[in-house]
Amino acid sequence: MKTNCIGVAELLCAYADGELEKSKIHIVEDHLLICENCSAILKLYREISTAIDDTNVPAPEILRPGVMNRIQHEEIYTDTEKVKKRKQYHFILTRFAPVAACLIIGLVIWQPWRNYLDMSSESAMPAAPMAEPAFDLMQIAPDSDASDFGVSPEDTSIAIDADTGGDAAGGNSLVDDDFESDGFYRIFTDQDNELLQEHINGAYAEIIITGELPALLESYMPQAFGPWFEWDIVFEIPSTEIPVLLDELENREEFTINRNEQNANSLYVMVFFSFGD
Amino acid sequence: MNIDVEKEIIERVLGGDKNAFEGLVLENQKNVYNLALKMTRNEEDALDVSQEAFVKAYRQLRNFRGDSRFSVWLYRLTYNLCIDFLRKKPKTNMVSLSYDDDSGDTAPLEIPDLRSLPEDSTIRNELRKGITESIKELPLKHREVIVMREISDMSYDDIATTLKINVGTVKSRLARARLKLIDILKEKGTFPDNYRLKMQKEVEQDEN
Repeated sequence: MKTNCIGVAELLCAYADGELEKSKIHIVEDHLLICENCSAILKLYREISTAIDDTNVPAPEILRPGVMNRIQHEEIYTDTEKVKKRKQYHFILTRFAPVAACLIIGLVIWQPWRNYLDMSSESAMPAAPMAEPAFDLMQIAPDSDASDFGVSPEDTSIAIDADTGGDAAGGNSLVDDDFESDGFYRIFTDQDNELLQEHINGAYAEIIITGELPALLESYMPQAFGPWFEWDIVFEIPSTEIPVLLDELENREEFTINRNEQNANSLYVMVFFSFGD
Repeated sequence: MNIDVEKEIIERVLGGDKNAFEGLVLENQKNVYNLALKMTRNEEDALDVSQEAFVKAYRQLRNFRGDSRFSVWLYRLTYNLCIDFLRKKPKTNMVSLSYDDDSGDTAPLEIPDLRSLPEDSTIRNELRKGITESIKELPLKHREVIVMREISDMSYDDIATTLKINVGTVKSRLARARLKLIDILKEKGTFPDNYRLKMQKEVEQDEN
Protein backbone atom coordinates (compact mmCIF):
# COMPACT_ATOMS: atom_id res chain seq x y z
CA MET A 1 0.00 0.00 0.00
CA LYS A 2 1.43 3.34 -1.02
CA THR A 3 1.11 5.99 1.55
CA ASN A 4 2.26 9.54 1.35
CA CYS A 5 3.98 11.60 4.01
CA ILE A 6 0.79 13.23 5.17
CA GLY A 7 -0.93 9.92 5.68
CA VAL A 8 2.06 8.66 7.61
CA ALA A 9 2.61 11.78 9.72
CA GLU A 10 0.20 10.88 12.48
CA LEU A 11 1.23 7.25 12.45
CA LEU A 12 4.84 8.32 12.66
CA CYS A 13 4.13 10.14 15.86
CA ALA A 14 2.53 7.13 17.47
CA TYR A 15 5.29 4.93 16.10
CA ALA A 16 7.93 7.09 17.75
CA ASP A 17 6.09 6.70 21.04
CA GLY A 18 5.59 2.99 20.74
CA GLU A 19 1.86 3.53 20.65
CA LEU A 20 1.12 2.48 17.11
CA GLU A 21 -1.20 -0.46 16.57
CA LYS A 22 0.78 -3.50 15.51
CA SER A 23 -1.26 -3.82 12.35
CA LYS A 24 -0.08 -0.45 11.13
CA ILE A 25 3.59 -0.70 11.93
CA HIS A 26 4.45 -2.03 8.51
CA ILE A 27 2.86 0.98 6.86
CA VAL A 28 5.25 3.26 8.66
CA GLU A 29 8.30 1.08 8.24
CA ASP A 30 7.67 0.56 4.55
CA HIS A 31 7.32 4.27 4.06
CA LEU A 32 10.46 5.03 6.02
CA LEU A 33 12.44 2.78 3.73
CA ILE A 34 11.67 4.97 0.77
CA CYS A 35 11.26 8.38 2.37
CA GLU A 36 14.32 10.21 3.57
CA ASN A 37 12.30 13.13 4.83
CA CYS A 38 10.07 11.11 7.12
CA SER A 39 13.09 9.24 8.38
CA ALA A 40 14.60 12.58 9.28
CA ILE A 41 11.39 13.62 10.98
CA LEU A 42 11.36 10.46 13.01
CA LYS A 43 14.95 11.04 14.02
CA LEU A 44 14.02 14.54 15.03
CA TYR A 45 11.10 13.36 17.14
CA ARG A 46 13.49 11.20 19.06
CA GLU A 47 15.98 14.01 19.43
CA ILE A 48 13.24 16.25 20.71
CA SER A 49 12.29 13.69 23.32
CA THR A 50 15.87 13.43 24.45
CA ALA A 51 16.29 17.19 24.51
CA ILE A 52 13.17 17.68 26.58
CA ASP A 53 14.39 15.03 28.97
CA ASP A 54 17.70 16.80 29.21
CA THR A 55 16.02 20.06 30.01
CA ASN A 56 14.09 18.63 32.91
CA VAL A 57 15.33 20.16 36.11
CA PRO A 58 15.38 18.68 39.56
CA ALA A 59 12.50 19.69 41.78
CA PRO A 60 13.39 22.57 44.08
CA GLU A 61 14.82 21.49 47.43
CA ILE A 62 12.04 23.24 49.24
CA LEU A 63 9.24 21.24 47.65
CA ARG A 64 9.43 18.10 49.70
CA PRO A 65 9.70 19.69 53.14
CA GLY A 66 7.02 22.16 52.12
CA VAL A 67 4.65 19.35 51.28
CA MET A 68 5.47 17.32 54.39
CA ASN A 69 4.94 20.34 56.61
CA ARG A 70 1.58 21.04 55.12
CA ILE A 71 0.26 17.54 55.37
CA GLN A 72 0.93 17.56 59.10
CA HIS A 73 -2.04 19.91 59.25
CA GLU A 74 -4.12 18.11 56.69
CA GLU A 75 -6.50 15.25 57.01
CA ILE A 76 -7.31 12.62 54.50
CA TYR A 77 -11.00 12.53 53.70
CA THR A 78 -12.23 9.77 55.89
CA ASP A 79 -15.08 7.37 55.71
CA THR A 80 -17.05 9.29 58.26
CA GLU A 81 -17.09 12.29 56.00
CA LYS A 82 -18.39 10.16 53.23
CA VAL A 83 -21.17 8.95 55.45
CA LYS A 84 -22.04 12.48 56.39
CA LYS A 85 -22.29 13.42 52.77
CA ARG A 86 -24.27 10.34 52.03
CA LYS A 87 -26.80 11.34 54.62
CA GLN A 88 -27.04 14.77 53.13
CA TYR A 89 -27.71 13.33 49.75
CA HIS A 90 -30.11 10.86 51.24
CA PHE A 91 -32.05 13.77 52.58
CA ILE A 92 -32.45 15.28 49.16
CA LEU A 93 -33.50 12.09 47.47
CA THR A 94 -36.02 11.15 50.05
CA ARG A 95 -37.69 14.47 49.61
CA PHE A 96 -38.31 13.59 46.02
CA ALA A 97 -39.14 9.98 46.55
CA PRO A 98 -42.84 10.10 47.31
CA VAL A 99 -43.70 11.59 43.98
CA ALA A 100 -43.98 9.00 41.23
CA ALA A 101 -42.80 11.41 38.60
CA CYS A 102 -39.64 11.89 40.54
CA LEU A 103 -38.90 8.22 40.40
CA ILE A 104 -38.50 8.74 36.72
CA ILE A 105 -36.22 11.67 37.28
CA GLY A 106 -34.35 9.52 39.70
CA LEU A 107 -33.90 6.88 37.05
CA VAL A 108 -32.69 9.42 34.58
CA ILE A 109 -30.24 10.71 37.08
CA TRP A 110 -29.25 7.25 38.16
CA GLN A 111 -28.93 5.34 34.99
CA PRO A 112 -26.28 7.39 33.23
CA TRP A 113 -24.35 7.58 36.39
CA ARG A 114 -24.58 3.92 37.09
CA ASN A 115 -23.51 3.16 33.57
CA TYR A 116 -20.53 5.33 34.07
CA LEU A 117 -19.59 3.45 37.20
CA ASP A 118 -20.10 0.19 35.35
CA MET A 119 -18.01 1.45 32.53
CA SER A 120 -15.26 2.28 34.95
CA SER A 121 -15.26 -1.18 36.33
CA GLU A 122 -15.19 -2.70 32.88
CA SER A 123 -12.06 -0.68 32.42
CA ALA A 124 -13.39 0.99 29.36
CA MET A 125 -11.19 3.81 30.56
CA PRO A 126 -8.31 1.71 31.69
CA ALA A 127 -6.14 4.56 32.72
CA ALA A 128 -8.65 6.19 34.98
CA PRO A 129 -8.23 5.64 38.65
CA MET A 130 -11.06 3.41 39.63
CA ALA A 131 -12.13 5.70 42.38
CA GLU A 132 -15.60 5.19 43.65
CA PRO A 133 -17.39 8.40 44.48
CA ALA A 134 -16.60 9.45 47.99
CA PHE A 135 -20.30 9.55 48.24
CA ASP A 136 -21.50 6.15 47.13
CA LEU A 137 -24.64 6.29 45.05
CA MET A 138 -25.37 2.63 45.37
CA GLN A 139 -25.76 2.88 49.06
CA ILE A 140 -28.40 5.53 49.07
CA ALA A 141 -31.09 2.92 48.99
CA PRO A 142 -29.15 -0.01 50.31
CA ASP A 143 -31.66 -2.77 49.88
CA SER A 144 -33.24 -1.63 46.72
CA ASP A 145 -32.30 -0.99 43.19
CA ALA A 146 -32.27 2.33 41.49
CA SER A 147 -35.97 2.39 40.87
CA ASP A 148 -36.97 2.28 44.45
CA PHE A 149 -36.80 5.51 46.30
CA GLY A 150 -39.32 4.81 48.93
CA VAL A 151 -39.51 7.00 51.95
CA SER A 152 -39.48 5.61 55.39
CA PRO A 153 -39.98 7.47 58.63
CA GLU A 154 -36.41 6.60 59.48
CA ASP A 155 -35.19 8.36 56.39
CA THR A 156 -37.13 11.43 57.22
CA SER A 157 -35.67 11.67 60.66
CA ILE A 158 -32.17 11.57 59.25
CA ALA A 159 -33.27 14.25 56.89
CA ILE A 160 -34.27 16.59 59.63
CA ASP A 161 -30.90 16.42 61.26
CA ALA A 162 -28.85 16.62 58.12
CA ASP A 163 -27.07 19.83 57.49
CA THR A 164 -27.56 20.60 53.89
CA GLY A 165 -27.71 24.33 53.72
CA GLY A 166 -24.97 26.47 52.42
CA ASP A 167 -24.15 29.62 54.25
CA ALA A 168 -24.76 33.02 52.81
CA ALA A 169 -21.19 33.40 51.69
CA GLY A 170 -21.59 30.54 49.29
CA GLY A 171 -19.81 28.09 51.53
CA ASN A 172 -21.32 24.70 51.84
CA SER A 173 -21.18 21.93 54.34
CA LEU A 174 -20.24 19.50 51.62
CA VAL A 175 -16.98 21.22 51.19
CA ASP A 176 -14.02 21.55 53.47
CA ASP A 177 -13.69 24.96 54.98
CA ASP A 178 -10.25 25.44 53.64
CA PHE A 179 -11.36 25.32 50.04
CA GLU A 180 -11.92 28.59 48.32
CA SER A 181 -15.44 28.82 47.11
CA ASP A 182 -14.52 30.40 43.86
CA GLY A 183 -13.17 27.60 41.88
CA PHE A 184 -12.41 26.35 38.50
CA TYR A 185 -15.24 24.46 37.01
CA ARG A 186 -15.32 21.94 34.30
CA ILE A 187 -18.39 20.73 32.67
CA PHE A 188 -17.73 17.75 30.50
CA THR A 189 -19.10 17.05 27.09
CA ASP A 190 -19.29 13.73 25.48
CA GLN A 191 -18.58 15.48 22.23
CA ASP A 192 -14.94 14.59 22.41
CA ASN A 193 -15.08 11.52 24.48
CA GLU A 194 -16.56 8.68 22.56
CA LEU A 195 -16.32 6.34 25.46
CA LEU A 196 -18.56 8.50 27.54
CA GLN A 197 -20.87 8.93 24.63
CA GLU A 198 -21.41 5.24 24.40
CA HIS A 199 -22.44 4.80 27.94
CA ILE A 200 -23.97 7.97 29.13
CA ASN A 201 -27.16 9.71 28.26
CA GLY A 202 -26.05 12.77 30.03
CA ALA A 203 -24.09 15.56 28.47
CA TYR A 204 -20.76 16.76 29.60
CA ALA A 205 -19.88 20.17 28.32
CA GLU A 206 -16.30 21.20 28.68
CA ILE A 207 -16.23 24.70 29.98
CA ILE A 208 -13.48 26.24 31.98
CA ILE A 209 -14.42 29.10 34.21
CA THR A 210 -13.17 30.77 37.31
CA GLY A 211 -14.84 33.16 39.61
CA GLU A 212 -17.99 32.85 41.59
CA LEU A 213 -20.17 29.87 41.26
CA PRO A 214 -23.01 30.63 38.85
CA ALA A 215 -26.27 31.06 40.69
CA LEU A 216 -27.67 28.06 38.93
CA LEU A 217 -25.02 25.76 40.30
CA GLU A 218 -25.41 27.33 43.72
CA SER A 219 -28.99 26.24 43.65
CA TYR A 220 -27.96 22.68 42.89
CA MET A 221 -25.38 22.60 45.62
CA PRO A 222 -27.47 20.54 48.03
CA GLN A 223 -27.56 17.70 45.55
CA ALA A 224 -23.93 17.86 44.70
CA PHE A 225 -21.46 15.28 45.84
CA GLY A 226 -17.78 14.62 45.89
CA PRO A 227 -14.89 14.30 45.83
CA TRP A 228 -14.89 12.10 42.77
CA PHE A 229 -11.76 11.19 40.87
CA GLU A 230 -9.73 14.34 40.88
CA TRP A 231 -12.66 16.67 41.17
CA ASP A 232 -13.83 18.15 44.39
CA ILE A 233 -17.50 18.33 43.69
CA VAL A 234 -19.88 17.17 41.01
CA PHE A 235 -23.18 18.71 40.08
CA GLU A 236 -25.77 17.15 37.92
CA ILE A 237 -28.34 19.39 36.35
CA PRO A 238 -31.16 18.60 33.94
CA SER A 239 -30.51 19.44 30.35
CA THR A 240 -33.32 21.96 30.40
CA GLU A 241 -31.11 24.10 32.57
CA ILE A 242 -28.21 24.09 30.13
CA PRO A 243 -29.27 27.25 28.27
CA VAL A 244 -29.72 29.00 31.59
CA LEU A 245 -26.28 27.98 32.70
CA LEU A 246 -24.65 28.96 29.47
CA ASP A 247 -26.37 32.31 29.59
CA GLU A 248 -25.06 32.92 33.04
CA LEU A 249 -21.57 32.05 31.94
CA GLU A 250 -21.57 34.09 28.77
CA ASN A 251 -21.89 37.33 30.67
CA ARG A 252 -18.64 36.79 32.41
CA GLU A 253 -15.54 38.21 30.86
CA GLU A 254 -13.20 35.62 32.11
CA PHE A 255 -14.94 32.68 30.54
CA THR A 256 -14.14 30.79 27.48
CA ILE A 257 -16.93 28.55 26.40
CA ASN A 258 -16.86 25.74 24.00
CA ARG A 259 -20.43 25.69 22.90
CA ASN A 260 -21.01 22.20 21.81
CA GLU A 261 -24.69 21.70 21.47
CA GLN A 262 -25.93 18.33 22.36
CA ASN A 263 -29.13 16.63 23.26
CA ALA A 264 -28.93 14.96 26.57
CA ASN A 265 -30.96 14.25 29.63
CA SER A 266 -28.62 15.80 32.07
CA LEU A 267 -25.44 17.74 32.33
CA TYR A 268 -22.66 16.89 34.70
CA VAL A 269 -20.66 19.71 36.12
CA MET A 270 -17.34 18.78 37.67
CA VAL A 271 -15.88 21.34 40.00
CA PHE A 272 -12.28 21.66 40.79
CA PHE A 273 -11.51 24.00 43.61
CA SER A 274 -8.57 26.27 43.35
CA PHE A 275 -6.46 27.06 46.31
CA GLY A 276 -6.94 30.76 45.97
CA ASP A 277 -4.51 33.55 45.37
CA MET B 1 9.27 2.49 42.33
CA ASN B 2 7.43 -0.65 41.59
CA ILE B 3 3.71 -0.79 41.95
CA ASP B 4 3.74 -2.98 45.04
CA VAL B 5 5.97 -0.60 46.93
CA GLU B 6 3.67 2.19 45.88
CA LYS B 7 0.63 0.35 47.16
CA GLU B 8 2.33 -0.41 50.42
CA ILE B 9 3.19 3.22 50.98
CA ILE B 10 -0.38 4.26 50.24
CA GLU B 11 -1.72 1.69 52.66
CA ARG B 12 0.55 2.98 55.36
CA VAL B 13 -0.41 6.58 54.75
CA LEU B 14 -4.09 5.68 54.82
CA GLY B 15 -3.40 3.89 58.06
CA GLY B 16 -2.23 7.12 59.60
CA ASP B 17 1.48 7.18 58.86
CA LYS B 18 1.81 10.66 57.42
CA ASN B 19 5.54 10.50 57.07
CA ALA B 20 5.31 7.58 54.72
CA PHE B 21 3.87 9.96 52.15
CA GLU B 22 7.35 11.34 51.69
CA GLY B 23 8.25 8.31 49.63
CA LEU B 24 5.64 9.26 47.08
CA VAL B 25 6.80 12.85 47.05
CA LEU B 26 10.41 11.92 46.43
CA GLU B 27 9.47 9.52 43.69
CA ASN B 28 7.25 11.91 41.75
CA GLN B 29 8.41 15.40 42.55
CA LYS B 30 10.69 15.80 39.57
CA ASN B 31 8.04 14.92 37.04
CA VAL B 32 5.34 16.87 38.81
CA TYR B 33 7.52 19.93 39.01
CA ASN B 34 8.64 19.74 35.40
CA LEU B 35 5.13 19.19 34.21
CA ALA B 36 4.02 22.25 36.14
CA LEU B 37 7.01 24.26 34.98
CA LYS B 38 6.39 23.62 31.31
CA MET B 39 2.70 24.28 31.66
CA THR B 40 2.83 27.42 33.77
CA ARG B 41 6.15 28.61 32.32
CA ASN B 42 7.08 30.16 35.62
CA GLU B 43 9.17 28.72 38.45
CA GLU B 44 7.24 30.23 41.32
CA ASP B 45 3.92 29.11 39.98
CA ALA B 46 5.31 25.69 39.24
CA LEU B 47 6.48 25.32 42.81
CA ASP B 48 3.12 26.40 44.19
CA VAL B 49 1.22 24.11 41.89
CA SER B 50 3.50 21.19 42.62
CA GLN B 51 3.14 21.59 46.31
CA GLU B 52 -0.60 21.93 46.04
CA ALA B 53 -0.82 18.87 43.85
CA PHE B 54 0.86 16.72 46.46
CA VAL B 55 -1.23 18.12 49.27
CA LYS B 56 -4.37 17.55 47.31
CA ALA B 57 -3.28 14.04 46.45
CA TYR B 58 -2.78 13.43 50.14
CA ARG B 59 -6.22 14.72 51.02
CA GLN B 60 -7.85 12.67 48.31
CA LEU B 61 -5.80 9.56 48.83
CA ARG B 62 -8.85 7.48 49.56
CA ASN B 63 -10.14 8.31 46.10
CA PHE B 64 -7.22 6.63 44.52
CA ARG B 65 -7.84 3.03 43.66
CA GLY B 66 -4.76 1.13 42.57
CA ASP B 67 -5.96 0.23 39.11
CA SER B 68 -3.70 2.76 37.56
CA ARG B 69 -0.43 4.20 38.68
CA PHE B 70 -0.48 6.74 41.44
CA SER B 71 1.76 8.91 39.32
CA VAL B 72 -0.79 9.13 36.51
CA TRP B 73 -3.48 10.15 38.97
CA LEU B 74 -1.10 12.67 40.44
CA TYR B 75 -0.23 14.11 37.04
CA ARG B 76 -3.89 14.61 36.33
CA LEU B 77 -4.26 16.55 39.54
CA THR B 78 -1.21 18.56 38.62
CA TYR B 79 -2.48 19.24 35.14
CA ASN B 80 -5.82 20.50 36.46
CA LEU B 81 -4.14 22.80 38.90
CA CYS B 82 -1.94 24.16 36.11
CA ILE B 83 -4.96 24.98 34.02
CA ASP B 84 -6.46 26.73 36.99
CA PHE B 85 -3.35 28.80 37.45
CA LEU B 86 -3.30 29.78 33.84
CA ARG B 87 -6.91 30.86 34.03
CA LYS B 88 -6.22 33.14 36.93
CA LYS B 89 -3.36 34.97 35.35
CA PRO B 90 -4.06 38.32 33.75
CA LYS B 91 -5.20 37.82 30.20
CA THR B 92 -2.35 39.70 28.64
CA ASN B 93 0.09 37.09 29.76
CA MET B 94 -2.00 34.22 28.86
CA VAL B 95 -2.22 32.15 25.79
CA SER B 96 -5.88 31.70 25.07
CA LEU B 97 -7.33 28.66 26.70
CA SER B 98 -10.13 28.58 24.25
CA TYR B 99 -10.67 25.27 22.64
CA ASP B 100 -13.21 26.78 20.34
CA ASP B 101 -10.76 27.07 17.57
CA ASP B 102 -10.53 23.57 16.31
CA SER B 103 -9.47 24.67 12.90
CA GLY B 104 -5.95 23.78 13.95
CA ASP B 105 -7.03 20.21 14.26
CA THR B 106 -8.46 20.02 10.80
CA ALA B 107 -6.07 22.19 8.86
CA PRO B 108 -3.91 20.28 6.42
CA LEU B 109 -0.73 18.95 7.94
CA GLU B 110 2.42 20.61 6.76
CA ILE B 111 5.38 18.35 6.59
CA PRO B 112 8.71 20.11 7.07
CA ASP B 113 11.57 19.36 4.76
CA LEU B 114 14.31 17.98 6.95
CA ARG B 115 16.37 16.13 4.44
CA SER B 116 19.44 18.15 5.16
CA LEU B 117 19.40 17.53 8.88
CA PRO B 118 22.89 17.93 10.27
CA GLU B 119 24.81 15.57 12.52
CA ASP B 120 23.21 14.19 15.66
CA SER B 121 25.44 15.83 18.19
CA THR B 122 25.09 19.23 16.63
CA ILE B 123 21.35 18.91 16.53
CA ARG B 124 21.17 17.77 20.08
CA ASN B 125 23.03 20.76 21.42
CA GLU B 126 21.04 23.20 19.39
CA LEU B 127 17.85 21.55 20.44
CA ARG B 128 18.66 21.70 24.10
CA LYS B 129 19.24 25.39 23.85
CA GLY B 130 16.05 26.14 22.02
CA ILE B 131 13.58 23.57 23.16
CA THR B 132 12.40 25.02 26.44
CA GLU B 133 11.74 28.36 24.84
CA SER B 134 10.06 26.76 21.89
CA ILE B 135 7.73 24.73 24.06
CA LYS B 136 6.75 27.91 25.87
CA GLU B 137 5.64 29.32 22.56
CA LEU B 138 3.34 26.48 21.73
CA PRO B 139 -0.38 27.15 22.11
CA LEU B 140 -1.78 25.48 25.18
CA LYS B 141 -3.56 22.78 23.29
CA HIS B 142 -0.31 21.58 21.82
CA ARG B 143 1.82 22.29 24.81
CA GLU B 144 -0.22 20.14 27.10
CA VAL B 145 -0.04 17.01 24.97
CA ILE B 146 3.67 17.37 24.40
CA VAL B 147 4.39 18.01 28.03
CA MET B 148 2.29 15.11 29.19
CA ARG B 149 3.87 12.74 26.78
CA GLU B 150 7.46 13.84 27.07
CA ILE B 151 7.66 14.72 30.72
CA SER B 152 5.19 12.50 32.45
CA ASP B 153 5.62 9.65 30.00
CA MET B 154 1.90 9.19 30.06
CA SER B 155 0.45 6.70 27.66
CA TYR B 156 -1.93 7.94 25.00
CA ASP B 157 -4.77 6.42 26.99
CA ASP B 158 -3.75 8.28 30.11
CA ILE B 159 -3.47 11.53 28.21
CA ALA B 160 -6.87 10.95 26.67
CA THR B 161 -8.39 10.43 30.07
CA THR B 162 -6.74 13.46 31.56
CA LEU B 163 -7.71 15.81 28.79
CA LYS B 164 -11.14 14.30 28.29
CA ILE B 165 -10.53 13.64 24.64
CA ASN B 166 -10.37 10.40 22.76
CA VAL B 167 -7.17 8.65 21.84
CA GLY B 168 -7.51 9.56 18.18
CA THR B 169 -7.53 13.20 19.13
CA VAL B 170 -4.44 12.67 21.26
CA LYS B 171 -2.63 11.15 18.30
CA SER B 172 -3.50 13.90 15.89
CA ARG B 173 -2.88 16.66 18.39
CA LEU B 174 0.47 15.25 19.34
CA ALA B 175 1.48 14.91 15.70
CA ARG B 176 0.51 18.49 15.06
CA ALA B 177 2.16 19.66 18.24
CA ARG B 178 5.44 18.09 17.27
CA LEU B 179 5.30 19.50 13.77
CA LYS B 180 4.48 22.89 15.22
CA LEU B 181 7.41 22.57 17.55
CA ILE B 182 9.69 21.79 14.64
CA ASP B 183 8.32 24.91 12.94
CA ILE B 184 9.14 27.05 15.92
CA LEU B 185 12.59 25.54 16.21
CA LYS B 186 13.20 26.27 12.55
CA GLU B 187 12.13 29.85 13.02
CA LYS B 188 14.62 30.16 15.80
CA GLY B 189 17.27 28.95 13.45
CA THR B 190 17.86 25.66 15.16
CA PHE B 191 18.08 23.81 11.90
CA PRO B 192 17.47 22.87 8.35
CA ASP B 193 16.76 25.72 6.00
CA ASN B 194 18.12 28.25 8.42
CA TYR B 195 20.83 26.04 9.71
CA ARG B 196 23.54 27.04 7.34
CA LEU B 197 22.39 30.62 7.53
CA LYS B 198 22.84 30.71 11.25
CA MET B 199 26.24 29.08 11.12
CA GLN B 200 27.24 31.62 8.54
CA LYS B 201 26.11 34.50 10.74
CA GLU B 202 28.12 33.17 13.63
CA VAL B 203 31.17 32.94 11.44
CA GLU B 204 30.66 36.48 10.24
CA GLN B 205 30.39 37.76 13.77
CA ASP B 206 33.56 36.00 14.71
CA GLU B 207 35.34 37.66 11.91
CA ASN B 208 34.27 41.11 13.02
